[in-house]
Amino acid sequence: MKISRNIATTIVCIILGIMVAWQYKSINYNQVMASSQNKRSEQLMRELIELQKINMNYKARLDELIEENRKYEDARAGSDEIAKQLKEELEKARIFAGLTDVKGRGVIVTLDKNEYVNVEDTDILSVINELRAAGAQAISVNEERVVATTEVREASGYIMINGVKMEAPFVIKAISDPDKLERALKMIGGVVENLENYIKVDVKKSDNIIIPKVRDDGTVIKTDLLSPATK
Amino acid sequence: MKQVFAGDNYILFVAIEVIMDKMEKKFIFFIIFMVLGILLAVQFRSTLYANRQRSALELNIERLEARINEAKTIEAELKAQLEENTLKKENYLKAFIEDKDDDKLRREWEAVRLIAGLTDVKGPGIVIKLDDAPARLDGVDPSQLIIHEQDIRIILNDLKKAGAQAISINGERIVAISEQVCAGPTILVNRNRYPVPYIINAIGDPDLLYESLSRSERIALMIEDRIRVEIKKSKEVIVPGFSHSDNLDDFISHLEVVNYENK
Repeated sequence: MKISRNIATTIVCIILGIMVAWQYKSINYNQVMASSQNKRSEQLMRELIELQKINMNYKARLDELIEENRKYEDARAGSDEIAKQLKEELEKARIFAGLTDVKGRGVIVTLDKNEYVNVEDTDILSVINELRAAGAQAISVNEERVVATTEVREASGYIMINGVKMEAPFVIKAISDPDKLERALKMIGGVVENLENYIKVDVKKSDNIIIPKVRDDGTVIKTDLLSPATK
Repeated sequence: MKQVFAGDNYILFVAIEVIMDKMEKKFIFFIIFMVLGILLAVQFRSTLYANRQRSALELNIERLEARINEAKTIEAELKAQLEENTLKKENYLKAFIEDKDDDKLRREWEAVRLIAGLTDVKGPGIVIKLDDAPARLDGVDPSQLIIHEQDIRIILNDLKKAGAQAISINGERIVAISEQVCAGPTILVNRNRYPVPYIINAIGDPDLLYESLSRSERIALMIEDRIRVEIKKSKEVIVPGFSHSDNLDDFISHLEVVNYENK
């Protein structure tokens, strides 16, 4: 009688123990699962919002284009509209290609050597790239317009940009939203903070920056090897 | 009498003890079973609740995934329509120029668009394929095994030094304002994101381009770090036009043309 009772107690206690352990594990597991799924759904949400923004943008552009094309169709005979449009398109392409002097608001970044270290080509490249990433629409280094084919070449003691020899200080101008450009450059752990460790860096916002067009003497822009390709 | 009394008392005492003992054991069992029952109920409810919650989350994720797929289909559709309409517009403008028989205008139109990088072009050049190192290596910092934005930037600069006339990365034309930003195993070019491998097409003198890269310190370092670098000369490399050519306004919105003649 006593033995059987003891056995019963033991069994009950074992079951109780197992249950407590199991419950603990199951609750733990549920929490981990739930938090990972929460993260995933948050991530998906962000992705979706981004996609929707892109699509809205595309849709607006498409509507514009369709409207434009309709105008062309209507104006086929009276071609003033198209002539005007063509001129506009041409001007846009010229601005985009860097074939016009432009002005606007932006930042002026000055890189200068100190007693020990000279400014390197990679320093200039990283500032230019950061400006581009922040949406810069026109960039020049010491009055040389930066275009698609612009190289930054380091040769003993000086730097060549668009085939022009130059030395420090390097004045890099960029046109776009000045606050955005400055913020990107001065970000914690960003380009300016990095460069300041070994050269002199100055960032100034300006409301009136003029950036010259690309030199037009045939040395910067070469297209002799390019022929049109059709898709 | 006293004895009897004491004995009576003793018997009573024992009797009470026996009863108490039984009660106590029963009481203990009662408590154990009660706790067991409560635990069972709590566990059951908690599991049920977690299941319900999880399935709600799962449902939510499924729904989001479905909506993302839907948005992606719409995106592809819109892109195709945009391309089609851009082509249509270009054709209108081209037809107009042809109609006018204005050779100067036509040449300017073509030259400016060529320089701006808005058109697809082909020519001799080289193709570079870059891929992260194949596997982790013990004792090597993993960040050495992947391609960084500086690598890409320096390679592009090397190509430009050697006179490259048109360059693309994974089909994105490099124009004056093209950024190269790496985030994890992807690169952002012209606001579009691409995963490894990175394929760089460059049009120029193939020998000069090849030589410039083979002398590049950065590429030597990358190869040392076991990053896979493949360089091939080619008689015909195709470099596509700028991917946002239908939306130039977005890229020149802050620029005002300086017109010295008006001053």
